[in-house]
Amino acid sequence: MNVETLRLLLRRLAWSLGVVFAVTTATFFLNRAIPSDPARMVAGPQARPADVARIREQLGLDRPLSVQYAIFLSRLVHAGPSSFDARKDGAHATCGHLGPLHLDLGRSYQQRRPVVAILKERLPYTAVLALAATALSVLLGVGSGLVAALRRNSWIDALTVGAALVGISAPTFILGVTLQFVLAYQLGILPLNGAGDGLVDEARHLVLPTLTLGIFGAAFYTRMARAELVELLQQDFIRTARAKGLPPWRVVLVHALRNALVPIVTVIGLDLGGLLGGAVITEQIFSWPGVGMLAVRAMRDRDGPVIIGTVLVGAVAIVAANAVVDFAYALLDPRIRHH
Amino acid sequence: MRWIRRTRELLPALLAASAIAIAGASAGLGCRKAPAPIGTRSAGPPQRGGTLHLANTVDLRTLDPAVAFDTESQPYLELMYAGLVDYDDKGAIVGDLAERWEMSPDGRTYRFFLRRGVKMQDGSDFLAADVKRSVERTLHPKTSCPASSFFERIEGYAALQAGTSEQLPGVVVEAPHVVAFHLTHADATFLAVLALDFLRPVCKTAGARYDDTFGAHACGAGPFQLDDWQPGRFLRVKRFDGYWNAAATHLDAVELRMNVPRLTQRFQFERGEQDLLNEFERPDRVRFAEDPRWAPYGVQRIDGAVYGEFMNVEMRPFDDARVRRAVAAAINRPNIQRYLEGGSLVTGHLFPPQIPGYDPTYAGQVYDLAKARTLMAQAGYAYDPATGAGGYPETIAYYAGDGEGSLRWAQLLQYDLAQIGVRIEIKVTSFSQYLAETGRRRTARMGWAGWNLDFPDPSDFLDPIFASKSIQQEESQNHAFYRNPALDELLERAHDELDPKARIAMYQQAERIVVDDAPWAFEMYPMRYELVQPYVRDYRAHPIWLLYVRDAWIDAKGRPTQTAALGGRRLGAALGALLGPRAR
Repeated sequence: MNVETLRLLLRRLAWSLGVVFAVTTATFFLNRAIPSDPARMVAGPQARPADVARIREQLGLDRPLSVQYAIFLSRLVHAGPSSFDARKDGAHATCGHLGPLHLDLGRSYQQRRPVVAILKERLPYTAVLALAATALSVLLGVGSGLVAALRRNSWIDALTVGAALVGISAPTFILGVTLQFVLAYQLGILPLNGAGDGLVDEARHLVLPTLTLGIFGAAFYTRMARAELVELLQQDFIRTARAKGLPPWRVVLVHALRNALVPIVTVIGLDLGGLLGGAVITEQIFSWPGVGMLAVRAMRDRDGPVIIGTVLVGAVAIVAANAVVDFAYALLDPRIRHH
Repeated sequence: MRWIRRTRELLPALLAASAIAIAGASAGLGCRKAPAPIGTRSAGPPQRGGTLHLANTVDLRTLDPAVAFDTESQPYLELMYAGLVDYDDKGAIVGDLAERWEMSPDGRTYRFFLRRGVKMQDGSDFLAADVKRSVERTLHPKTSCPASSFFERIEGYAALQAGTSEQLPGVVVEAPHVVAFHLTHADATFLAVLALDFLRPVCKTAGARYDDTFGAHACGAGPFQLDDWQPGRFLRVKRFDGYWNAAATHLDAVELRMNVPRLTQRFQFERGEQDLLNEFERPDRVRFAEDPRWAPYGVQRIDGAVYGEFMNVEMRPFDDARVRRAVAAAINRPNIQRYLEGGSLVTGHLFPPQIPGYDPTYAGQVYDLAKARTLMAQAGYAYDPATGAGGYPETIAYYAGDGEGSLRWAQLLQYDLAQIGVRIEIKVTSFSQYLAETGRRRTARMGWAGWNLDFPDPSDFLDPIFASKSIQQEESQNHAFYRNPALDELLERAHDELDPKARIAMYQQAERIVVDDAPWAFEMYPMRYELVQPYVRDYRAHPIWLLYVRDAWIDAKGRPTQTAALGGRRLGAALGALLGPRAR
């Protein structure tokens, strides 16, 4: 790795941290700007004012906003012991840590548990769903787009384009409920909802949400891949490759598809980043215990620390996905690598 | 030509895909008739065994009774924790962990004699010291108990809250099985609030002070104990055979799936994967409720709550009682009842039927359009319905809830009030924003108002929402900012009155003051509709608790297998069912 690359990486890292910090800060203040009282939401609509006031004090919400923000920042990322017992060590009871680097998002107002611990429970579900759905979207979408492009203007092309149009037009809440109704309720071949227990059961529970997100995403990738490939297959370098006598599969997969993937990878990165932040509607339909469902509940309950936590997850996911996309560009296109 | 050719090719694919999507969506969203009940109901004595499967649309916040004040957690706290006293199925207070109790003549001391041989779920003996420790744990200022002030009359409460004492001298262990509560002055509501969950004894593992982690290993003295809790997903409680009345507990376990949408709950119920359904999409509730096959398995009851409209008496035009009375008289309750589809019951009362003092012979606020127009004219806002001229000149913002039902309700109200020249503009807000703005002084002139039962006592429906001491600059629960010295004085006297008959009479008088002065226009009692599977027995609507399954049992013979409940798994059968009404 040369100095220039290192400098680029460091600049990129600083930019990413800046974005995450800005998003987190904006969320903190926006959350406070909404005209509602989190202490009231914790206590319940019928709690007496004296009890609400005490809870407000316990949550630190009676302090000036600047003080609240200073406390939030001082705790957010800090140094601490590499190993500790959260139950016994009050100062780090709400921390998650990577060695001596601690992340502390505080305690959920509603669940009264550390936000980091809640996110650690939810993130694996969201990550598995996001990866599975993206993989399905890309394989199905790029595959069918490729077939449609190669069989341009045939009935296969028409069927593929038509199906993709329906897929894009059908929102996930229609597609999800329809799949749930047919495959789980009527046919009984898949569970209706939940996340299951044990590897096989969990895999069965993963199928419906993956299909919902995957089909929706695949429809988009189909149209995109088809459009890119139709254009590329008419380019001079493809004609040259064919004239050189390269096998057709090599022309298509190595020369055409590789070039078509450059814009597609951008979208994959953004999609994956978005899904890692939580597939809000799909998680709701299938009671999938991911970050998306957590975010919705937190916003409804005005659970500030959890809202910030879920936004942070989303921001980090988008930033990380963008970074991965940039590196993928370099792999796919040597011109970018050289620049 | 090329465009036409492609369209022709696309058309069949588009049509087929659209048909599948539309059929699936419409079938799933309730365009079909209700399926027949599955399983059977047979005669016979209660059977022990089986798991009751439940679901809800939200997450449980906590399993610690000290900090839970939400309707979602309450049914499960009721299973896991037993109190000194509880409500029976008529709503009367009965002993649970306390065998009996006595009250001193001045009403300031309650002495409880505990059952002997009772075990906590950690295996330890239940003693009076557990009661004191649990009470002090809940009422300690570092515990976020949202109902701490219910117990403010216990001696030493103020010092404990102020942090000048770590003890509560008002709770005295007089013997291993005798505990006394000393109050600063008489409180006729004491037993009613003691029967709530907050002070229920917790195991020694809970510690002497509140700990956020206790909910994960919740432990009390109730008929069920925690087996597995995965927040956001799943809760399972299993029967605790050490409970003093374990012989009356029939179920092996109760399981709750959380965050399940209403439509999915319906699917689960129809497949036999869920045994009780009480959260419905509106069309589903109607179609089940109107289906005679489901009539034996439906449970309908009036919730302990009252809904209506608050009118801010500090803001025009509601600073004039005649305008408030006109609004109360303009609400066409009989017409509204037609639109509620059985989901609520209209009323002109403050007290729901569960509350002592409810008087079915009292008419309360009634619909009388002519009287309403006369009152408006007397207030200087005469309105001519023929021309639409007159009435109150400004448009009033009405704070509605954010649900579909709230909006429909607001629209009906908008029409009724237009008949007397009061024009409202519906302002839809989130619940948190609604609470913040309607509780702020001189901010909201009018809006939806509701109060749910905290404990079955008339004071609970008067003190927090109509007493002037409940008025605050922010967070006021008295959303009407209603101030009436005569009412305040009456409420103070009633709170201390120990003679039940005299006390009820005072509260009935207070209700009439509020109904007549109309800081609220009372409109309806929400109703709850629940469906149980035929094989679930002895589930009854409880007058106080929203969901009470302690007595339920499963008729194993009547419970079908899940496959049978599906009506087959063949694709043909499924498509047939998808595209048309189900035969069974």
